Amino acid sequence: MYLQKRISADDMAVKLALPYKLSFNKFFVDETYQRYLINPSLILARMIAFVDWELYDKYIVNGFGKVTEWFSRVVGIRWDYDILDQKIVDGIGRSISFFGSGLRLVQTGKVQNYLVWVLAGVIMIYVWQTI
Amino acid sequence: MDFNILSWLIWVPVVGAMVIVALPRDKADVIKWVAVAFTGLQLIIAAVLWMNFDKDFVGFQFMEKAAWIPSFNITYMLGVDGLSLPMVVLTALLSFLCIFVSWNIDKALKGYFSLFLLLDAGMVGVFVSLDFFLFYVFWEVMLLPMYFLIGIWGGPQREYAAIKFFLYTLFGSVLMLIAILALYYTCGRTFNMLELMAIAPTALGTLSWWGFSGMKVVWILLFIGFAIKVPIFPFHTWLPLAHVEAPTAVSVILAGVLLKMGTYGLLRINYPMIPDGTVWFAGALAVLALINIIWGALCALAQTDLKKMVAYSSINHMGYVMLGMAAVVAAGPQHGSNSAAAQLGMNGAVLQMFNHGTITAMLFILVGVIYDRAHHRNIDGFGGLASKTPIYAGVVALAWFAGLGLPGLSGFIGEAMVFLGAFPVYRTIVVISTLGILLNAAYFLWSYQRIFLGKLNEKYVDLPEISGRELFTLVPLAVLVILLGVYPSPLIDIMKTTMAHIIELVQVSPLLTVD
Repeated sequence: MYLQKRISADDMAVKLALPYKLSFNKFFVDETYQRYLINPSLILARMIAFVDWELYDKYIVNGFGKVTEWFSRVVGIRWDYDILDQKIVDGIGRSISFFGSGLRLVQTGKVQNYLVWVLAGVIMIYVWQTI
Repeated sequence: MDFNILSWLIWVPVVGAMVIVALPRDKADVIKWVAVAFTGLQLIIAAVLWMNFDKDFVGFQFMEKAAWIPSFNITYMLGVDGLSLPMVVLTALLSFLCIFVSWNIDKALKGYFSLFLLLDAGMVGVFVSLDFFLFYVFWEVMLLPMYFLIGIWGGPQREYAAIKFFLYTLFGSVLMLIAILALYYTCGRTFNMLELMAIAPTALGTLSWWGFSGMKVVWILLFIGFAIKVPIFPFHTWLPLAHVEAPTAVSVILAGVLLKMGTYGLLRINYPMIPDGTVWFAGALAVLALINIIWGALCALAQTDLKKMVAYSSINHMGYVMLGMAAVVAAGPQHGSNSAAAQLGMNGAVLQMFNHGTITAMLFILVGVIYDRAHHRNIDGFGGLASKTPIYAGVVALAWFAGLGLPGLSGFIGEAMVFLGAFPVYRTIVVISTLGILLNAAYFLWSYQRIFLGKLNEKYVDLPEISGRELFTLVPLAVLVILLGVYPSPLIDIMKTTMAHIIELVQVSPLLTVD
């Protein structure tokens, strides 16, 4: 049929343009799959993997670590060292040492000075009791 | 029994670790062969255990009991049933094979192999402990060698991966510890699991914590502890990192055995001790299973690093285990007292645990083989390798097909049973999760195509074929995968009685029996 050129394939292709195109391209099955099934699946997979690894793990999971680390710095350095140790504990020490350095002036080693203090005490007790 | 077989299983590798520590450090071959000898002995003992196991016996066998810390009623109590026996055998088998997988380790051999044996002992200990305190001790004993094995012998990000794994798992352990304390005090000060199984279901009912049902709180605490190990979404992100960084043998153990401890813990502790919580949470467990399946599969599909792809496939595969476990409620009257479905789901779950252990071990060993040769794992960086390394390509094809659940290979049986069991209760979830199987096939086949088919990448014209030693580690697993794919009954028979008993214990939950 084709050999004797009774029907021209080119003619037929023009006459039956639509079926010719469809069948020539295997009904676009491969292309349709690629476009509407495979590509969207891959895009979805990459999105999910991105959310899983780049967002969820990096920010939420590691975020817990970061918050703990920050909190440990607040507690361990700001509160424990700066405030509790440096201000309160050492503060008590400093105030004792300050008080001590004041008191040290009193400790002169001279019996006369001590006697003056004793006398002052006796007078204070006497005043206290009379009023 | 005079011969304390379970103690032998635990302590043989410990003795091995001590022997290795005492060896001179320059005798590399001696160190490796000593490790082979001790894990081999353990494997033989495990085989003896398997052969002497009475599969129709309800309860625990080969029990050993000795006082350990009597003032707190802590005992050294061991035993196996149909749930723990497959796990023990799997542990012994993978530990033995992993010594050969580790043959090329050249850094601090003594440390590596002694820690490996210690890890082995810890894993067996977890599976055979019947005292909750002892269980917890082994659970932690196993953590430490793992930390060093990843942190010292791992890849470029090993320290980050090791500490993340350790802290994440320890977080779960701590929650589990609170639950253990709650059980201890509400159940008459005992850590004995058999007593806890008898007392806890009713004793926890009256417990109230800050106005919440104590039963539910304890269930959730235990669940999170185990979920991190499985890992169940959203507690899973330590796993891809740890897998990618860990040396091959450690990845094999991590995926092959450690993940199973999570689901084992749920089945051993949560199910029989807190049946009400189990029934209450079963629906949520099925939903989490679905998320694991789809999320894991999609993440695997997007990976370009082969090892990370296999790691995400583990998340996907453990989803099937959870789905099967959720089917336990099928036995309840409001689901038509369909105990056949519950049986299928629960047996399928444990079967899938065992099969995933063998399949994923193959997957990781195979990834290690290519990494040792090419020094990278980029899926797109190969191409056409099948023409150069036909034997390797063949073994990979087998493992990949087993991973995607091809009928005739063991992965299929577990998944099919899980779906059969879960379908009557969770129809929608099962229908959607079968999409996971499709995605499974997609990422396995797509990666296979990119690595092995097409034009040979010029860079790999001299790629050496898989070696005899590597084949030796893969063949026993491949045999198991095919054998259990064609004829799974021997394994199902082992676990059947125990799983029926656990289903019965969950059925005592008033949530299931009241209409």
